[in-house]
Amino acid sequence: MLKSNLFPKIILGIGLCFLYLPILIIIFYSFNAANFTSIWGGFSTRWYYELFQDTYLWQAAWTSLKIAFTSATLATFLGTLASLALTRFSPFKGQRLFSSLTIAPLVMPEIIIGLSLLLLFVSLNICIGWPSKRGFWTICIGHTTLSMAYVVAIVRVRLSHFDKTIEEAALDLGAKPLRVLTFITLPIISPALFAGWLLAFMLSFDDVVISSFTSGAGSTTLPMVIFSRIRTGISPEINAFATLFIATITLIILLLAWVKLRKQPV
Amino acid sequence: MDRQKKPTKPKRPKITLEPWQNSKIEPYIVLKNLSKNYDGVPAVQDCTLDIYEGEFYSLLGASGCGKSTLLRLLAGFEKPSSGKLFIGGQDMTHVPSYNRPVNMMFQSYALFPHMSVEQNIAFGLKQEGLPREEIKNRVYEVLDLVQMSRFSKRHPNRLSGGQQQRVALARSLVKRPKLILLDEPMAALDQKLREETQFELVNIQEKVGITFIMVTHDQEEAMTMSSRLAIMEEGWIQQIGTPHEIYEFPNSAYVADFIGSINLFEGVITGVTKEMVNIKCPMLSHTLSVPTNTTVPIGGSVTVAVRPEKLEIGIDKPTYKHNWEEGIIEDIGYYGDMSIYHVKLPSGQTVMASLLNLDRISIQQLTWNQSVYVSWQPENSIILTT
Amino acid sequence: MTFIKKKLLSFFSPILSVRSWVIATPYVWLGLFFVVPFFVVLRVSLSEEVLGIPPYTDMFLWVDTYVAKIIFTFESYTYLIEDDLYLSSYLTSLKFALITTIVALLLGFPMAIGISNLNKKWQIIMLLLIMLPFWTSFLIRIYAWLNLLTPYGLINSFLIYIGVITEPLRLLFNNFSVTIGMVYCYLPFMILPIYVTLEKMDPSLQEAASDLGAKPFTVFKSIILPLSFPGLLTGSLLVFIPCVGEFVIPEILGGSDNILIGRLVWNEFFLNHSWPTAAALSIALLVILFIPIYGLQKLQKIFAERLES
Repeated sequence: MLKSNLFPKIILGIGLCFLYLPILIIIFYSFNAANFTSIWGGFSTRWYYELFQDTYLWQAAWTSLKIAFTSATLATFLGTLASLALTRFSPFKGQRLFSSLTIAPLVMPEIIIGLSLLLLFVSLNICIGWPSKRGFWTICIGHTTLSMAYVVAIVRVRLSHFDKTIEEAALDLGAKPLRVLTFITLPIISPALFAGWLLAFMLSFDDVVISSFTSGAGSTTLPMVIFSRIRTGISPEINAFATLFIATITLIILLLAWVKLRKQPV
Repeated sequence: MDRQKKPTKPKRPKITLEPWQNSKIEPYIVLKNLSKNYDGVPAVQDCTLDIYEGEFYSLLGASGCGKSTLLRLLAGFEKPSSGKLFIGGQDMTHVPSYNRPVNMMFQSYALFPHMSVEQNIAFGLKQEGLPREEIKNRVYEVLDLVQMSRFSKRHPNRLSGGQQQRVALARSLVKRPKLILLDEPMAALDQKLREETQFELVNIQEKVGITFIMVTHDQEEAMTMSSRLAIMEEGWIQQIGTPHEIYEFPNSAYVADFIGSINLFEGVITGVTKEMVNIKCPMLSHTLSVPTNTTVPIGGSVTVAVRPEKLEIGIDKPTYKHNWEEGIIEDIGYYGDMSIYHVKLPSGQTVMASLLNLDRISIQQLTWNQSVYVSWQPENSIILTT
Repeated sequence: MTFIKKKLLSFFSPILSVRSWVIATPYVWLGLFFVVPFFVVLRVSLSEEVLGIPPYTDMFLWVDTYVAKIIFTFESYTYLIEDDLYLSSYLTSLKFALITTIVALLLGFPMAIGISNLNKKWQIIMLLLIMLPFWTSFLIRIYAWLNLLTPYGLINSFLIYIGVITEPLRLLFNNFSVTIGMVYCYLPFMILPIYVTLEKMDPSLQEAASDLGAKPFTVFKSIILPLSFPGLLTGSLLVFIPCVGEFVIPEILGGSDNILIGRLVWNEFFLNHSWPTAAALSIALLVILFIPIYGLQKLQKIFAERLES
C-alpha cells in the first residue's frame, strides 16, 4: 500500500531528469557544427577533430593522469594504515586527535586546503630550500591529503564491519600478525581498497582548486585547462571532451557494476 | 529444558578411563588461579582446572558467565589479568596464539571467504612451511575424516551450514594440535542436524585422540558429549565433575537447577542418626529423611533436592513415615515419551513429578484436579547447603 | 651495562615496532600537510602586507643573533571588519548554502524514499544512476548548465516555443544559476545518507503503523520522518559545509554580484596578491564553519542516543 504511493516515485523521476538533462544536452551539442553552441547548425564531428589536435589539452590530461595515479596510490596506502591503526590497534596516545584528524579534510573547504598548503610550501622553501619549484609533487601532496580522508572513510567502515574471528582464526592457525594482514585481511577488504583508490583517483583527476594553488609553471592539470576555458564562456570543444569523458566513465562504471552483479549469487 | 534424558557417557577405548581418578597421571592442561578483568569488571575469576589428555571437556553456563572468555584465554586471544596456564607442562600464559599448539573452531566458523575449502584447511599447514605434497596429503586426510573431500574446491559461501561446520572442524584438526577449542560448535545448526553432529563429533574426537574443550550453553549437549564438565556462573567455576556426578550430586542449588529440573524444599535439621538426617520443612506436612552427607548441625537450615523422575506419583496412600505428601494435580505436560505432573501441595508449593508413558494404548489414569500422593526413596534425595 | 642496554632497548623498541610505524606514517603526513599549514595560515594572517616575495613580513625581527622581536598585527582582521564587503559575502555564502541545503533536502528526501520503495534490483540501478554523474567531472557538470541556461539555450528556447515568454529570461550569472548549480552538484550527498537510514529501517514498522490504521501521510509523519532524522542531518551537513566554501560554482555560474567567500579568498590571493587578507579570510571562514559543524554533530549524537534508548 505504502510502496505503491506515487509521489516519491514522481519526484524520483523528476530528480533523475534534473541530473541527466544537462549531460544529455552536452552530448547533443558536441555534435553541433555551429560555432555558437546554443544554435543547432547541423550534425558534425568537427569539434572532435579539433579536440584531437589540441595537444595542450592532452598534455594537461596526461599530467593529470600521472598525478591522479600517484596521489590515489599514496592516499590508499596512508588511508589504509590510518584505518588499521584506528580499528585494529589497542588505544594509543592521541588516538582521538588522530581519529578526527583523518576525517577533518572532508569538511575543510578545498580553498583553505589549497591556500594553506601553498603558504606552507612557500615558507618551507624559505626555511629549508624545499620545494624550490612547485609542480607535480606539490600537487600530489595536496591531493593525497584530501583524498586520504575519503579512503579512511571507506576502508575504516569496512574494517570495523569485518568479522574479527576470521583474523583470530588465522592467528590461531599459526599465522603471525603481518601474515594475517597480507593473506587474510587485505585480500578480503580489497574491494573497499579498490573503491577508495578509485574515489581518490577521481577526486584528484577532477580537482581544480587545490591544483591551482599548489601548481607551478609548466604543471597545468586538465581541470585547470578546462576551468580557464569555460570561465570565459561556452566552448564547443569542451562539449566534445565532456562527451568522451562521460562515455569513458560510464563504460568503466558499467563494467565494474556488471562484474559485481555477476559475482553476487542471486 | 524440562525433560530429562539419562546422561550417556561416550566410550573412549584408547585412553585410561577417568584419568582424574588416577593420581599417577599428570593433568595435561593446568589452569592456576586464572583471572580476567575487563576495565575492572571481572569476566573470569580465579579459575583452577585440570584437564587430562584425551578428554572431552565442556564449559557450561548461561550467557555472560565467562565461559567464552576462558576459552579465548586458552586460545591466546586474551591475556589473563593474573594466574597461569600450562599446556603439556609448558607455561603458555604469555605465548601468542600463533605459537600455541592449540586450534579453535569458531562459533561463526570464521572460514576465510576468499579461499576454497582446500586452501582454508591448508592455511595452517602453510604457516609451518611444510612441503606442498605433505600439505595436500594431510588436507585430504582430514577432509576424508569429516567426509568433505568432494567439496574441496568450493568456496565457503557455497556450502550449507553443516558443511561449513565440517570444514571448520577439519581446519582445526589438520595441524594436529594438542588441544582443540570448540566455541558453541552446534549453535548455528538446526535441532535435527545438531543431534546427529553431536555423536559424530565425539566419534571423530575418539579417532584422533586430541583433547577437546567445548563451550556451550546447551546442557543436554554438554551432558551427552563430555567426559567431564565445569559449570560456570558469573566468572566462577561452580562445580566440576562427570555428567553423572553433576546431575545426581549437584553441590549447589544453582547447579541443580541449571542442569535439568528439580524440586527444592527448604527446611531445618531436627535430628541426625548414623545414616539419616531428619528435616522439617515448613511447606511440607511430613518430615523428610535424607542420607547423611552434611555437617550442618541440628537446627541448621538446608535445602533438600529431588529430581522429578525420582518422585513416585500414585493414588494409593504410602505406608511409610517420611518423604511423602498429598496434593492435587494442577497441570499435566505431555511430552510423548513421558508426562510431567505439577502437583499442588496444601501449603501452596508445587512439585513436579515425571512419569514415563510406557504403554501406548492405555489412557493415563491420572487427570486434572485429581487427588494424588507423591513420595520418594530417601536415597533419591540430596541435601544442598548453599 | 645491562641496565643501560635495557633502557636503550625500551627507548628504541617503539621506533622499531611495526605498530608505531603504522600509526606514525599517516599521523606525520597529516601533521605536516594539514595541521602545520593551518598554523602557517594563522601566522601569515597576522603579518603585514608588503611588496615582495613572499608578500608578507617576517614574524621575527632579529634584534641580535639570539634575540628576536615577535611582530604581529591584527590589521588584516580589522580590515575584514571595516569593509562590509567581507561581512556581506560571509552572509551571502551562508545564505546560498542554506538555500541549497533546503532545496536539496526537499528534492532528495522524496527521491530517497522513492528508491527505497523499489525492489532490490532497481534500488541498485537507481543508486548507480544517482552516483554516475558524481563520478563524471565536477567541472563538466557545472559546465553543462552553461549550455542549458544561456539566453538561447534549451530552457529559454523551449519556453519561447510554447509561448510562455517572448523575450529570453536572464537565467545565467545570478542567484538562480548559482543555486541550481550547487543543488545539482551536491544532490547525491543528500540522497545517499538518507537512503542508508531508510534502508536500515525495518519495513514492518511502516506496515505495523498502517495496520493500526495510520494513513500514508501519518505513517510518513510519525514513522519515516523521525526515524530518518540522522540521515537527514548527515545529508544536510554534507551539502551545507562544502557549499559555504564553494568557489568553482559561483565563479562559473555566478555573476559579478554573487561574491561568495570562496571567490573572495581566491581574488584576494591571485588578483590582489594580498596574502595576509586571504589568510585572515580563511581563518574567519573556518571559525564560521565550526559553529554549524559542531552544532549538527551535537544534534546527531542526541538523536543517535535517543534512537538507541
